Amino acid sequence: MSHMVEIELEMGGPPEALVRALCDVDNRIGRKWTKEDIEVHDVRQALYGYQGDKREQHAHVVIRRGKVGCSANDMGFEKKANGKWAAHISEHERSTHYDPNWQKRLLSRWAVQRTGMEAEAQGYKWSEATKEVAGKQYVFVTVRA
Amino acid sequence: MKRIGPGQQIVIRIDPETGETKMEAMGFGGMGCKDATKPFEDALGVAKDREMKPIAFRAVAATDEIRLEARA
Repeated sequence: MSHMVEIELEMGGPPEALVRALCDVDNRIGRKWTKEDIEVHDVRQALYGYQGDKREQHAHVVIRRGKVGCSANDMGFEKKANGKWAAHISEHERSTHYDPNWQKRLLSRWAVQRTGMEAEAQGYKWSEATKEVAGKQYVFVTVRA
Repeated sequence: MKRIGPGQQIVIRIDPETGETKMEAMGFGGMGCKDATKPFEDALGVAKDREMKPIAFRAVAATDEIRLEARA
């Protein structure tokens, strides 16, 4: 061992890692999202409320309300000028399933998928495993030649 | 150019509940570990609280004492 660093995660980069993470994370529709459930746009699109009302927010990666949950609003992720993703999750959704804890789980899954994509881009192999350390479960991603 | 060779690996530990993330380079000698982890650090966010292990310090100390001081 020769080097350890703590990383403060910032969700950025291409939409593929975000889409993969959304397909990994839990939701409240009773099944995992698939890529077909998630819209990816070069130009940001309007988000709509549960009654079909157009909201002020726009996003490049969108999950429409019917896929978010019952009586839900659209959920979206907007790519900001600094290259980072900003989540647009309505107050109602944040108070139900998609609260700050869910957002942290999504961020964790994004970190796994973003690492995997970077490894693949550089021609490395990668694997993921869940292991217990001091009574707590952690996800370990290993990158090797 | 590949920066991770045979016997070397990068291990990233992620707390699935909090997102707390630590990255460790294993099996590297010298400062090559930093070159190997840099693309992953950049992809994931902001690196902080870097801890260099003795094997890296020894290799640098033999070639470039000023760099060792700057990173200590």
